[in-house]
Amino acid sequence: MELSPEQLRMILNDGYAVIPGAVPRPLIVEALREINHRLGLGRTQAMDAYADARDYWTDDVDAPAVMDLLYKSPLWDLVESPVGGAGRLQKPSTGQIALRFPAINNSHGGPASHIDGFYAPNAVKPISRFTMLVGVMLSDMPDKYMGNLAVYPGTHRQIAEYIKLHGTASLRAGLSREIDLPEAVQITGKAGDAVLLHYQLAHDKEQNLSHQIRYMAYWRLWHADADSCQAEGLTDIWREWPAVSALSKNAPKTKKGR
Amino acid sequence: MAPRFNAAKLARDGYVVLPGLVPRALTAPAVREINHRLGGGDHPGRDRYADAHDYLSEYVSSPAVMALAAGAVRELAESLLGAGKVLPVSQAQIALRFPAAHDAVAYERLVHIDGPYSGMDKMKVLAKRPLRYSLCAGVFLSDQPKPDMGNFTAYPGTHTRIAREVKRRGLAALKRGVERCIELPAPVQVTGRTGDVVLFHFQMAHDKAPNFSPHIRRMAYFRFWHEDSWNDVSRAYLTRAMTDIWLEWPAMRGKHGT
Repeated sequence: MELSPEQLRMILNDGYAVIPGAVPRPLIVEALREINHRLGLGRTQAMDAYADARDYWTDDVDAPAVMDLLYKSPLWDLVESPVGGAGRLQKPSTGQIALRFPAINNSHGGPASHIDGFYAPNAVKPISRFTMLVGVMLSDMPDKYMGNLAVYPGTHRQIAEYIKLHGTASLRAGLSREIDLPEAVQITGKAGDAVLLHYQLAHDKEQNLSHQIRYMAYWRLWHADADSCQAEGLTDIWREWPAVSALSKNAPKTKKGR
Repeated sequence: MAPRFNAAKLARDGYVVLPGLVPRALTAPAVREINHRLGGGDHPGRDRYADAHDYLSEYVSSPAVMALAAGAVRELAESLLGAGKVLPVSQAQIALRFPAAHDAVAYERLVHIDGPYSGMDKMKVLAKRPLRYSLCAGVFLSDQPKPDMGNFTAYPGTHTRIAREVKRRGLAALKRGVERCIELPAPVQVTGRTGDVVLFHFQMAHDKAPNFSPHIRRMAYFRFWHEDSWNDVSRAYLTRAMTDIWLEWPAMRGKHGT
């Protein structure tokens, strides 16, 4: 299975694509069971640095029920298709489960648009650039403000242009200081839908004003060549995406930035 | 107007289900509150029966939760125990049952009636007095359409069987627990949808079923005291109330063959 031309074009222009029904329900059910079982165990699991004690819980896990979402569904073939096909992505051994709990007073920590692995106020820590972020919805999010993943369409290209001119240092204390961000799009969908993001697409998580827990699973995927061209990939953003690169060369020029 | 229900079934089995008694406008804020608390990971009202594996039980009195018992549920209790005879309810037991890790998990059976007459030494006292209320209303806060979803499990008719044994042997009949006091009938896992209410007599033996579903089982239990049961904690009154099981239920006295 592979991404459709429309999905490839959306990645080219907007930096992301939604893949409806990418993961069958039996796999979703097993993953939810694993995650909800872990919730019962309490917060004794290894949580990552971004988990807070209020409304967000994230944990990297290697449980089969979670990894099967990626490997035992059509999803793996789909995510390999734009980057050169079989064997061109490094296979992760863990996935990130990310729960967003309902807010109770509508408080929000404010926008936190970011690129993963980028933020470092003193720019000492090296950027850890991967190729794509893949998320699978494990709960229905038919409306906005249900803890949805929020993306800033086109910022992958916008940021590449910025880095060409100014380098990365000034971006690392926060994107919104340097980049004129477009309006965010909150991604809606159903359990089993997947979303694929170019590494360099600015994104955020929205607050959850619903009464249900938002469940997502994410994987950060490295192209087989990504380790050897970390810096180049920040400006040559399609070097690891031959299917999108081909589209880019054939397509009429898209407007720069958004 | 008090909600209608099958009084003959309540008399015979000791419990009855009232579908859709609590509207979504009340269940949604309560679920939101409960899910928010899960996000916080802090449960100051956690009771001694909560374990670290699959069960979280805590007493809360937040407005969103208490609103569940303010309308039709309260009217129901008053219609059964007598208008003006029901003490205000100040807290709810929120009881979450998390999914088992897998279907082969062995669950310990814990058939009991609440309070010090269960045979479980740790169930001595709640709020510094014996826990012997009149009726309990359990509000479904998650769908449980099938068994083995962590369902409330009833042992129909045990309220009368226990009454007979107490009449014959006194309160000592329950000293070693319900299972050694009477012969248990086949259990019934109570199914229902969010907003349904299971109403049961204090003296009906019950348990909680395993949860082999992928979802968290959410229930809110409200215990209602007839004023006499609160005011008179003598052994004489206790024995009387446990043998004359509709003593505090004027709506049920002398009816349905009781």
